[in-house]
Amino acid sequence: MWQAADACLKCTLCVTQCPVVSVNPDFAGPKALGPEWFRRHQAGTLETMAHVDDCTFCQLCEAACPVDVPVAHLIAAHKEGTIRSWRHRLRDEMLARPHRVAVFARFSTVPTLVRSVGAISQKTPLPRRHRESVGGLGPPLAKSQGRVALFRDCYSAGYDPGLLDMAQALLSLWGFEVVQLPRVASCCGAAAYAAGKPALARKTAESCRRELALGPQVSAWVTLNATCDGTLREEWPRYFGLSLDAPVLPFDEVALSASDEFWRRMHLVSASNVPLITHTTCRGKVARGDGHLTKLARRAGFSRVEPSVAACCGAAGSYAFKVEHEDTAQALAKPLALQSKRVKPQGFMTDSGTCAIHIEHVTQVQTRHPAYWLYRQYQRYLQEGSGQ
Amino acid sequence: MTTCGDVIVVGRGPAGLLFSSLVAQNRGSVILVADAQGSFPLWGGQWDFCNYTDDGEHVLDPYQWWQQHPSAWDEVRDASTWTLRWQHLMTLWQEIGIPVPDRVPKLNRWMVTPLGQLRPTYWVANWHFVMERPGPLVFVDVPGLVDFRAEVVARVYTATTGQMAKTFRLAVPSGWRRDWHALNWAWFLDSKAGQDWLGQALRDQVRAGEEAVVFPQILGVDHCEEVLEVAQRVLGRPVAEVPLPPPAVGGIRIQRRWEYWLRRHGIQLVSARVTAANRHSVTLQDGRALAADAVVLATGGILGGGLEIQPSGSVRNTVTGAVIGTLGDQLLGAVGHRNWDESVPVIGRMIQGWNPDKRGNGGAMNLWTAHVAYQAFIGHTALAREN
Repeated sequence: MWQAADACLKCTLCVTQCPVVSVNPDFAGPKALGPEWFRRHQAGTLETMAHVDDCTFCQLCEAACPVDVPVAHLIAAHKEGTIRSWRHRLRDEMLARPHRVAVFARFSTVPTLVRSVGAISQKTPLPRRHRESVGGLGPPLAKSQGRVALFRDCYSAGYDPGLLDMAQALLSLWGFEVVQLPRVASCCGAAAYAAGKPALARKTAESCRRELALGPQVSAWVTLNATCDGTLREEWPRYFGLSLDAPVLPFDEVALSASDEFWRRMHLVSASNVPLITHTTCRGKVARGDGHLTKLARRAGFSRVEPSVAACCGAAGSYAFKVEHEDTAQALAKPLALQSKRVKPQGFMTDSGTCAIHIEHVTQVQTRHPAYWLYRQYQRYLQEGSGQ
Repeated sequence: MTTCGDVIVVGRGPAGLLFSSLVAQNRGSVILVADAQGSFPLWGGQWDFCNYTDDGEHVLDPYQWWQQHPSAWDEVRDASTWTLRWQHLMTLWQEIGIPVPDRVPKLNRWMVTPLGQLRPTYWVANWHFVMERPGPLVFVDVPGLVDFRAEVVARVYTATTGQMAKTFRLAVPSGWRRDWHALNWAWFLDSKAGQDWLGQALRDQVRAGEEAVVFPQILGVDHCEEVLEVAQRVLGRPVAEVPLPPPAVGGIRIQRRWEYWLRRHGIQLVSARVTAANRHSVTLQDGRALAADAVVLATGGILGGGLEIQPSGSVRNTVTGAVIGTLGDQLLGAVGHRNWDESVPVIGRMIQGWNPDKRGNGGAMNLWTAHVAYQAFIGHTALAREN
């Protein structure tokens, strides 16, 4: 299998950082479900453990591991052997292909009966298509920065196309020529891997890679969703042998390198002294780290910015949509609800669409991507008089 | 207040967080790069000053030991400098929200190990049981916790100290399972239901007496103050904990609060492996390069034994044996080395005479090396500005 799959020292660092095990007493934890299961599996024991599906695949366990054990990926392999009811199998096959589901984004509601039969949570709201008209932000503020591809992830393409346009408008303002790719609905494979379907994940990723190859040459791939970001940059080469011909960069990091003039203008906007909570998604923490969103929000002029207290909000892609996970998802989001009551923020900034739905549901506070907040703030600058 | 420039800190353990805090407190910006979780969840969170003499005897007055020790270098002998640095840690932890006393101790105190033995320690959070001299105690037996058998602890404690030690056994809540470890208990007690249950369970155990009640370290993670308050209110006497082997709840509490405080102060936590470092930049495994005014390596690992930096400059993971990077042509800076321009400072490691294994001075090593490196850093920054 993988190089460090058998390297576990039993130090328990993975357990201490696992969000699920702290709220779900049935979940045996990453050490037991990953490396310890793997050793038994290698010795010929093929039984799977109960509640292995409760893993969100956040990968915080892997990020904590001092000896590089691919803990979450071992758990994903463990999930493969789980025996599920036909309803769960049908649902999981569907949710493992989010680019197919997103095709139906224009149907804003799913009937209760369909949810019930499909083992979809009644408590967790499902995605709804954002309908926003997005315009340009004016001429570029910097000389040409070259051409970049904005990765058209399945969620944004289906449910939040306006966000892609906002990100494109901002990138153009910063001097980039932008092309949105892939042109047809496609998925990086993250959802399938999280569902314990590594073979489907590879197939999906390979298909996505072929679509991306149809686009023009670019100097970088800019991602909006933290899970896609980590998947394209780290999992594609490590687990699928796939690579892109240019660096993969999260939108917030590209934003932080925008010109001084952009930030000067953002600071001219009035009413920026509003509380904002930044939530870096768990996959974002693993892929890139934490603190970037807070830095971005403060640089954009939001002066009362506080980082979220939750390691994982519980959304985890389609995790919270599954009926058997709704209680765990709610429990994971509880610290955010309490923080929201204390801080009374005007909004949450987060780098994932499904996390945004979940956070908005538990806090009743508008939750959007950094590109949205930056776009809105710059629009205010334009409206308030750009002659300053 | 000094304003310092950007710094890259490599490593997420106590030395890395302390150095980052020093920079953040002085309005500098920090990029904290780490490839894995720091060591906090692997130890109870006590910061030892100096516990043992050359002969392995307990040290009661660490200030005096440092002043009198013939091999100590000049600055380390200065008690007032030590006091200032411990006081800084005290105020920092208070700001972070780690409960600590309002003054630093003059002497080492005694803590009880999970086996009931005594050992000295110096700086601990309020939840951590310490005493100036042994006295009668009550130890709480927690079902299923193999790392802390109260009967054994009490027997060893009495044999070692001559003091009375009683025990009582905690009941089990509904939903309890035999495989619960300390963290499972702590997560349960974090909840309102857990605290209500604990209050009820302890009411059945209330007896007359004034002895402190000592729990194994299970009394909550994020809400431990509330859990302790419940226990103290019901029992009507002091309650504190003995830290256990990993996963160590005390260390996790400190890590979570400290890292959150750093994030609130705007530090960036970069999740990546450093494969090469020099004075002003690091190279990450994915090819990215990060640049700053300075780079500090805080890659000590547990008691300074994590990454091994060899004379050639290659950096080796002592666990796997793999060479994971190089320091290039830069010399490795002994901590306290004033010549910042020629070296990459290293903090929180067993170099320049620090030996936590032998002396029990791991906390002091982190404190001293982080402060010395910080002083050198701001001196270097000021000099660079003048030039």
